[in-house]
Amino acid sequence: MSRGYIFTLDAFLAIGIIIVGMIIIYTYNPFSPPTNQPQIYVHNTLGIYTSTKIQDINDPYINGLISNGWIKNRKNTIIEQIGEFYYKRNSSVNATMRNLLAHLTTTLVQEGYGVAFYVDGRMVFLRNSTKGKSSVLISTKTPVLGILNASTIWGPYLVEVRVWQ
Amino acid sequence: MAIRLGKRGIFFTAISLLIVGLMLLSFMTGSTNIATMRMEVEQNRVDLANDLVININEAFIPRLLTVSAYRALDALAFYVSARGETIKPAELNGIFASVISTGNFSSGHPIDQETGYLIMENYSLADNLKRLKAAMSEGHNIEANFNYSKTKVIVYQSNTSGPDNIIVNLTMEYSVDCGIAQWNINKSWSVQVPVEGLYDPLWLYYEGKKIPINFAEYQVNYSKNWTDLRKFIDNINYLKEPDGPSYLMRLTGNLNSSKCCGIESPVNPKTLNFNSEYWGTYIDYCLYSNRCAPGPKNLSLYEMDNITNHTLGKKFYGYKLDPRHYVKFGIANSTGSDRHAGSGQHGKGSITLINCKINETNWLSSNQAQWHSSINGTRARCQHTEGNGKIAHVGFKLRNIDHDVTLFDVSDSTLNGDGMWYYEGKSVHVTYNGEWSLKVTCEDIYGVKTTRNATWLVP
Repeated sequence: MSRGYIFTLDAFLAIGIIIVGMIIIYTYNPFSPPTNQPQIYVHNTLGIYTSTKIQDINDPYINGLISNGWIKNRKNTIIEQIGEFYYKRNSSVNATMRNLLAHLTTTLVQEGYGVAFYVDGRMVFLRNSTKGKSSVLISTKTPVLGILNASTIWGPYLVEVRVWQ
Repeated sequence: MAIRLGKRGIFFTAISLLIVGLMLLSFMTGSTNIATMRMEVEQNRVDLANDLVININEAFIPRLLTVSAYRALDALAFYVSARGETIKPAELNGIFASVISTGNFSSGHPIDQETGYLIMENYSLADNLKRLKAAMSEGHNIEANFNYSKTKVIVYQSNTSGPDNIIVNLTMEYSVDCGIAQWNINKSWSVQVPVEGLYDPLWLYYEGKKIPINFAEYQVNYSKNWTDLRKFIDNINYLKEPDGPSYLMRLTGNLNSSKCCGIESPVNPKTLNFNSEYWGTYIDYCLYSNRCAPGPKNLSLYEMDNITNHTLGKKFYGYKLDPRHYVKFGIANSTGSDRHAGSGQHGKGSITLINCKINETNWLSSNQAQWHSSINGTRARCQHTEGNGKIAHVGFKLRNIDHDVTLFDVSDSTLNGDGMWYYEGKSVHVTYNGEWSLKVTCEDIYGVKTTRNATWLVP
């Protein structure tokens, strides 16, 4: 009978050790918080910005920029227009570029997500400054170039979009 | 001794099997997750590279081609002026292809050095594609290689382009490698380059004047509004004209008609510093060819009220038109506003080449005479609409403007060859910096002088 107690105890000990071992194995994998949504925002944002032309957007703010002469080439995509603003950069052009990006990201990226745009390594737009505390940061880049007139090219610039949560 | 299979043994064995099975299951799941995540990463990378290839094909290369072509055309117009010789039609494609691809002639000599203008520097196709390649490598670690040696370029104008565009076709091979996938592309692109804004090779060649092609956005109809004709001449605007030569024809010195693509501009006597009235139609291609009035049939020329005057130095000095333009601009429909031009005037001289003999070797553009070089001779080609035999004297004056020094000023030189006049009487060592000027004066048998200046900077 005492051997029974020993063996039973032995079995429980063994199970306990195995359970602890498996817990250690599973918790060894670093925790990866879900990246799906920021990834979707990054790719969506860049995808829309690279494929949507200014002339295809029916928006009063953008129509205002066109009528005021800020946007001259309506066949530019959004990202090309950002590149053109960056080429012409000065204080008022920079402000217009920031306002345009702010206006567009309000629609595309929900509150609670931070967004930053970089052109050639320089930050041109930032929403939310909690980057240091975020647990997820996704970024993607694309080269962009355009023509100002028949004799002048701007770019290629590397445009980077970062989204974090 | 036989081993008895006890209940405890079965129990422990079952437990062990269960544990091993659980461990196997958990590791298998993990490796599936890893494989899936890895495939997703690779899929993203291939998609990214594919999007880049699409962008290159549909946006980047057409834009780079448009800008490089525009600049190459401008550079060729200045080259025609610097060389004093238009491009042979059979050579146009080859020269254009070389200049647009690398900014150099096929000999390797940069066109910008020949013209003295920085037009193709950093803007040839090779330069542009190099920058694009660097951006792709830096941003995504994607390698793109553009094969310039197998590039084919064709330039032409047609009914499709019309007079206000030039079609440039490019065929090129390139490859893109993202590490896990590779694209090999052999593709053709076709772009239409606007003529608007380019300097007219005709004015550069005959007068050394930089006159940009700006099409009139108004109707030139004297009878409706005579000020529009004044504006047309004053601004040197352009109109589409099937009887006139196209832009590419002007590059090759062909002043015949181009039904699909001809253009014309008015002669502006004030801009061209006319010091005499000329017996010819004051439309660009007409003045320098014999195709318009008076022409071989000795047709009449017409002057216009409110426009033509006979005061030297004033706007529209001696302005005249042939019967065809007289009708085209609506002057024939106006009342009491036309009169036949009197004759007694003559054709016009023009200076189409100014060269220096530098360092006893080659005849080169004067801008090649730089610090410590020797100018051993000068030459110029003087032409006349009535025939080069009408040129009587050609003078050369070499000056350094900044130091106000005249190195030589001769009024007579030697005719050697068709319209080519030479002066090799004095060698000059370039020891002054600053702006230099070589002024050529051609005097015809009627005493009318035509002058043209070549200026350049010695740093």
